[in-house]
Amino acid sequence: MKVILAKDLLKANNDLAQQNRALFAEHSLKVINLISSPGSGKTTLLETTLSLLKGLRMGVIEGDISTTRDAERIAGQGVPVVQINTGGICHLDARMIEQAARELPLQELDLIFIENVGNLVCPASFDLGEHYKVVLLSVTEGSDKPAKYPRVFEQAQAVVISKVDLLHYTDFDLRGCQEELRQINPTLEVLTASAKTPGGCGEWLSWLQNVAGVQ
Amino acid sequence: MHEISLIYSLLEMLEESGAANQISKIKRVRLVIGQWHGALPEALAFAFAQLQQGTLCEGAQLEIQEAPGQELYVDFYEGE
Repeated sequence: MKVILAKDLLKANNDLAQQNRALFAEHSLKVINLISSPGSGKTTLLETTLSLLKGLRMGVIEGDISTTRDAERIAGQGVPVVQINTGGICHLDARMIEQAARELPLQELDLIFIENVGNLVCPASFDLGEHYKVVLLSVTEGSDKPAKYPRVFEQAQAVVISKVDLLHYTDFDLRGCQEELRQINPTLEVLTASAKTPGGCGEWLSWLQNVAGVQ
Repeated sequence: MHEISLIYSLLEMLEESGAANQISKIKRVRLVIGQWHGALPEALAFAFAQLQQGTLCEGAQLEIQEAPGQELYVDFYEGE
């Protein structure tokens, strides 16, 4: 007997992601899924964001293959944080977010950051129920990464080119990279940031205030 | 890549559908995978061969049809 199924392999994940989205909407929360290669500065950018962004109540879900080091750094900023250890899995999925969200005081928050597992490939395939996917691309990684890993940039709403204070020490082609990003995804918001320079995160903080509906 | 977890959800889906259709053995499965999906056909085939033991799909043949987009879905299966 032949059975036509026509069923998406990620259907279970996508259904759960919709449930997460509904839960976040119920609490009028905005959720940001931060994706990048390991070492591009996601946790450092988050630490700076948590200390500088005023008027928003924030929480963080940290995803790593192992250790609670990132959650400890985030807890140092005095915000609620949940660590997910994926135990070898290369991405976060909607089920992990559903479980982690239960541990956060959702009714007391305006904005949740999800720091995905450091990986430019797999996290792009899994909807978590977030409102925005933001990709970090550090100048030390090289400006060829969007062309080499286009999928995550196609899916994102914003890219933050990070560590721009190090631009002079690299051969990163900022203008070329910005153009290439717009070719890959014409609606992509392309921002630059330096988390270690006073005033270096202005564009990113304004973008966040804008998406979270703060004037 | 996460081909192993994709094959786990495929096997789960087939167990469920097989049970609903009173099928006790699946012989052939066709998967459609878009070239931009990111999952690798060889890695999916390898994971399927490794994980099919002890399921309705034990001994089943996996056919992978490539497509132009971003899709990844089970087209159909055959069993008895």
